[in-house]
Amino acid sequence: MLSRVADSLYWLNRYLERAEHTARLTSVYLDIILDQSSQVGDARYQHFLKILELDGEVDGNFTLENLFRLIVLDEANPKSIVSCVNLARENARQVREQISTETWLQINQLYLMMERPSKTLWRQQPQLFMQEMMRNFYLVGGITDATMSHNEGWQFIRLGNYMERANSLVHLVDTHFQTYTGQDPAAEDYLDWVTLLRSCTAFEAYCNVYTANLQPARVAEYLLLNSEFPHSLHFSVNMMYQVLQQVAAITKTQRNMQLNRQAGRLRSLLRFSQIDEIMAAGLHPFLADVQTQCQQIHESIYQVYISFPIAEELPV
Amino acid sequence: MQSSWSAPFTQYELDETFFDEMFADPGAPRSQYEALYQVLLTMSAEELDRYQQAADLSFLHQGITFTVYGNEKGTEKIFPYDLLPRIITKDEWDTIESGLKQRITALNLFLHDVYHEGKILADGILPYELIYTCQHYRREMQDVDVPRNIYVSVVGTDLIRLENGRFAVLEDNLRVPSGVSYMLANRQVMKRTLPTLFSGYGVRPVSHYGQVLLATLKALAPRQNIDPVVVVLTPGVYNSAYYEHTFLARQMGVELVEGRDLLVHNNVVYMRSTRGLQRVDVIYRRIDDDFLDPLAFRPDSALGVAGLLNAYRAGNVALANAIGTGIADDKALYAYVPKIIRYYLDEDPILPNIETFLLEDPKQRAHVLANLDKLVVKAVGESGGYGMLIGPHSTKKEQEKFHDLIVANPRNYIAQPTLSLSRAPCFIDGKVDSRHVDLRPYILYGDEIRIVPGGLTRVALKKGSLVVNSSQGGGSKDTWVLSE
Repeated sequence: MLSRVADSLYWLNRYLERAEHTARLTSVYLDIILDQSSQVGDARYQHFLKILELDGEVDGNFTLENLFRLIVLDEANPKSIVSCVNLARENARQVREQISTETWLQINQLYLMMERPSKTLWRQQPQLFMQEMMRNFYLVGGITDATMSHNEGWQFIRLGNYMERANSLVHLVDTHFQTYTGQDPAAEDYLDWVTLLRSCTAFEAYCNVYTANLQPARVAEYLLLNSEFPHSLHFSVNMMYQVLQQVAAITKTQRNMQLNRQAGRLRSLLRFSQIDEIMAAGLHPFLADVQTQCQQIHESIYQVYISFPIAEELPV
Repeated sequence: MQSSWSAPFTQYELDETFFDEMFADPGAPRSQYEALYQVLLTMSAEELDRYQQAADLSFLHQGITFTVYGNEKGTEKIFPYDLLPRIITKDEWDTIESGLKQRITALNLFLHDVYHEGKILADGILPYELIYTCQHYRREMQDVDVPRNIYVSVVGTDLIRLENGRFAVLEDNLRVPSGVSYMLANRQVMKRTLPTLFSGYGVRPVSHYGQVLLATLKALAPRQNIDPVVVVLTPGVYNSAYYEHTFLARQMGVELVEGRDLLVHNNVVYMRSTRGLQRVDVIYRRIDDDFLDPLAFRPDSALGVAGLLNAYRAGNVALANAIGTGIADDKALYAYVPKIIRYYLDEDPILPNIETFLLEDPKQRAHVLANLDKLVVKAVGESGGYGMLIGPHSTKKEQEKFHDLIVANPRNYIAQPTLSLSRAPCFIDGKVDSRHVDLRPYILYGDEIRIVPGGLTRVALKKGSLVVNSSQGGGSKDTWVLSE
């Protein structure tokens, strides 16, 4: 596979995953912002912007319409859902012949929905609009898995997915725990933890394991270390590791020693760490370390498969 | 007369100066259109409108778009599709097919001759000036042997139908002809929107174009003992025909590469892949000569591959089409094509040319300058409907501008009588109306010449307009070649 194509497939799905993450957060926060008195609602709105790293860029008062415009529809905001979808489609267009027609149709569907949003729908029933959007995101994933050959290109698509998912998750958990004092939450704060879980589609799954007894350390354990839940950090890193093994087998590369070691090390870290030790040593430094390791893996992927030095490869 | 028309044709008009594709007389369709006509009579305008919308939506959803240069926002447009098919009989197609095979064979021999001994020039059939002043002549190709001696492997020839119903050649496109993906997409949309109309008509299939193209390209590979690596070279996502490049790569199952994916080392072309470097044997390039190799041609080209010309000359890679084929589709050379056919094949041309005035000849020039309001003037090196004067539809000012341009550089222009493009019924704004059409069949030349039965029927959507190019407001129709 062309290096440029691998690059585009990887980014295609990083942008899709990013857009999906933002869409899910928006949907969850729309709910709780509306649920609360205006003062608390405003505080949650600020918190929401902080998670999206948009807190510095907004002034003026919260209105539903402003929020929606900024995060969902504003093409001038590079972090908005529409911007991510546009970038994803642009990448898809560059590798149009590599993805299945069915996947392309679905990505285009998403693009057209964002390009010409139904004003009456998003103004009057923003949640319906968000649900429709989420459904479209899930369809892209499902259609891709069902219609594309599970070949090298598909592996790079998944690599983009899980790399982005790991990154967003680390950032989300980190931001959320900044205000955590180590005390068990008061009843009225439960909603915050429910929100965190729902932002990762994890509320129901968490309850199945730990019941509805919400303890921050358990929440962190579930989101970071659970190996079975597809939106957990451990799961994402496991998938990244597996994908990299498969890509190495397909390409028969000899240059992936370092990449293999980095991915294996991160996987082991998540496999053998315990949540009480992590919390005792500090969650933030742990997450910062994970982030650094992810970045190193990202760079190694580029060195091995995408922007490798030509001299190593020329026939003698 | 008017009374013989029934809905949805009540507004339809025939004009004696133009051949009508569907009707011989008012309300009397030609035999190959009879069945279609009967079906259309049972349809209301609303019904047709619904089908048209379904078809348009299908193009939009598939992202089958082209890019219009020169305006910023909304540059991606769908290529307008007309619901009503254009039908070509078996006899008509047989003539077209043999005529095109003859023409392409002769033009290939001509290209080989001009880039080697130049016998046709030495024999005085063609003036040397015509070749040496052509902006597409590539001295770098002199005495270079190209694989199988085939210069043009992928051709899209523009045909028009004259008042008498005969097809004639309007233009040979021997460099990087485009539009074949629309031929295939039109057929697919037609089958989806009007399946009942399509079935039982005995239309010959076109969908195997991808396989034929791949076989053609593989036949050119310099290393014949291995399964050759074929790639499609695109200028990238911002090119107007990018959709088509991806489409063809997908149809053939080969890599779509950009210049930056390729590199040349020791006169061998490699592509950069996740497995490392991989050797490339055949490049179906959709980039003009000028941009192909910054070392040989335009140094500011970021689209090309440095060293590609040398790799080609060394015989390590095949290009389709070859470099320098533009001399054979130069509009001034066009006038000589009948002579070229007679010279190399000793045959009369099966498909006639359009009468063409060469402006370097003082007598012809004087005639043209005196009749600018009646003639069509074209710049010889342009394509896509740019740089053109259509006399009867032009203003005095435009005519004066072209007068000066011709006097300043007569070699750069040719003139032709106003084209009598035939007209075909089209579904426009809720009614059936007639519009001018042409026909571009696609010819492939590898181990032999093959033409997929069909082509792109381009439509000038503006009433009365004779310009069918997509960049100038043209659309297209599905084209049916009948098997019986």
